Amino acid sequence: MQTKRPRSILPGFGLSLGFTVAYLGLIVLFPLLMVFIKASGLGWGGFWKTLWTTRVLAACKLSFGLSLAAGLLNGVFGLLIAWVLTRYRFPGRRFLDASVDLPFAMPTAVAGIALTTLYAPNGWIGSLLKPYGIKVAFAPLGILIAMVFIGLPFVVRTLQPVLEDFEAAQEEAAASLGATRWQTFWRVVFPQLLPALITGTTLAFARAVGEYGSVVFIAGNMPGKTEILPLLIITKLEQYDYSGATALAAMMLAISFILLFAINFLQRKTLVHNRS
Amino acid sequence: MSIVVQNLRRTFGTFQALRGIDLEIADHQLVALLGPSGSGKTTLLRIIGGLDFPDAGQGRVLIHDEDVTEKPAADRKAGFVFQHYALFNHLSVFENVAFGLEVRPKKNRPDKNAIRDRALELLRLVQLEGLEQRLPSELSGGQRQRVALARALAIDPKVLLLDEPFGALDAKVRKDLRRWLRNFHREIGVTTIFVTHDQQEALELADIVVVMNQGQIEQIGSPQQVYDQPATPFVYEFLGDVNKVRKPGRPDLFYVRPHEVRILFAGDSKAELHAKIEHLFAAGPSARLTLRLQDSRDTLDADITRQQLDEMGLSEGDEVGLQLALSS
Repeated sequence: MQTKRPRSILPGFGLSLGFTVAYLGLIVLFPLLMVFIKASGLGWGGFWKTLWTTRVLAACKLSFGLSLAAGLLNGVFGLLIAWVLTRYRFPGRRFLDASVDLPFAMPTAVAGIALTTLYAPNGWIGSLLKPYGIKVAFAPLGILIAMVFIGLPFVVRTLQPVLEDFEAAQEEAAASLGATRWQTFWRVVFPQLLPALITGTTLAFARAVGEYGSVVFIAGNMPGKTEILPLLIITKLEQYDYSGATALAAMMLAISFILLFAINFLQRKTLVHNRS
Repeated sequence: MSIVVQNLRRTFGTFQALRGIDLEIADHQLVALLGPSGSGKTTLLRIIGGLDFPDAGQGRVLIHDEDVTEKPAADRKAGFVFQHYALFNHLSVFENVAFGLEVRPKKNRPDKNAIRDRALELLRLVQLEGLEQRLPSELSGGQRQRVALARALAIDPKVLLLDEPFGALDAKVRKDLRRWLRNFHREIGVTTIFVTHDQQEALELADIVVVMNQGQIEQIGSPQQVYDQPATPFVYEFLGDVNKVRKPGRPDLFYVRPHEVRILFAGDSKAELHAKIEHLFAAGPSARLTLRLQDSRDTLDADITRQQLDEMGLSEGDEVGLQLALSS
């Protein structure tokens, strides 16, 4: 008997691919496409007129800038936390490990309220910082903290399995070749964690861009200063400016998509080296 | 002496991995640490390499007459090769080999060209020239292990420590690489210790075989010594095939290797024992007989030549007489 395509022992390729495409299309791509269709009703002129305002541009800068910063911060400290949780055995480790997931588990508004209470000028931490002229709540710094809070689990949870599977013998080999602990980390361990680290950081970044619930409480929401893009969209919706809201959404989507695509590309480049 | 180990002890929890090891290894030797799993051979190798440490105050390790017991691996200049290669997956073959030179402090790091020359020279030495830009994942198991060897040699190690170097390879490659390592060692002359649980490998390859069991050394000697004059019953059983035989009317056990069993006709007056051929397997120049002893539930194996088999016209079910060149 002749087969037209190479035979595979894994059955159901056609069925599962069809399902995947249909599912992703229905759940993700189609709704997002609607955003663009709806926004296109404005025409290019209307589109730009909606977007090219100081308020929108400020929100844009704030949202993407802080999200990027939050993603990177999470990258650094998430790596540290994942390292400690996988490498060392100490009392309370399980408790710490479980607490990493908390930002996932609770409603973001709760996080927002809690953070605001802590960092408000009369809150526990806020009152300590006030004498030094550091304002956290109702300032960009507060937004950053909320974004870091909700993004942390992504980095820790993507890195943990990779760290756990890391071959201890590679570190021993580096040591026997004369490498210091620091050299072993930078030259041997870190490059092999990088793909997972990029994935985790990207997820944290993407989550921060889209985060609404926890940020609006702590942000203060002053137009042009501490107003994030998702809030601006809600504001427009509340004013029944549906096409304005979709125009903003379309722009956000486009920027996010380009950024994620670029990061994915970068990640693929680091990954090629690590296939074993 | 290249390596000296004195009264070394190592305990993991309640498990005594090493219970007082004394060992001296002369320069340029190729030494096999041979033993079953759990005998402590890998632990001993790791302690010599500085990847593990003895119990506090329990023993000393000297490399080239220098006490290195407390020194970390990075300061020992002991080239270590791991069972599963432990190559740096993200670095090319060349970068793997150059690693040990690249990480040196600036003041005694060779310049870029010197590192390059050295790495390429080593790759030539392990017969991997032309593969320097490959990633480890693009190599076969045997090639990976040779990269690991080149990488370990790049630091001009005082000693070379190989932990089951052929353990992850298939039988054919294993055999080739074994022969290759033999010649390679002769060429470079670095004192080398390798760990193995394969007696064939140890006997074929090593100048000195160190037989270990349950955290202790059972015997140290040349392959011929440990095979022909085993110091303990353990060594006897662990090295090569051996029959444990109880002669009728005597309580003690005898050890006899299959080739030491002489097969006679049943009526021969020199026969010490009588047995029946239960199974006969002939392939190659020798034949293996499984014999059931008369008046006993014991069986024993005997190897005889094909020629003898044919001359005596033996077949399964025949009665034969035995003469044992009993060893102890």
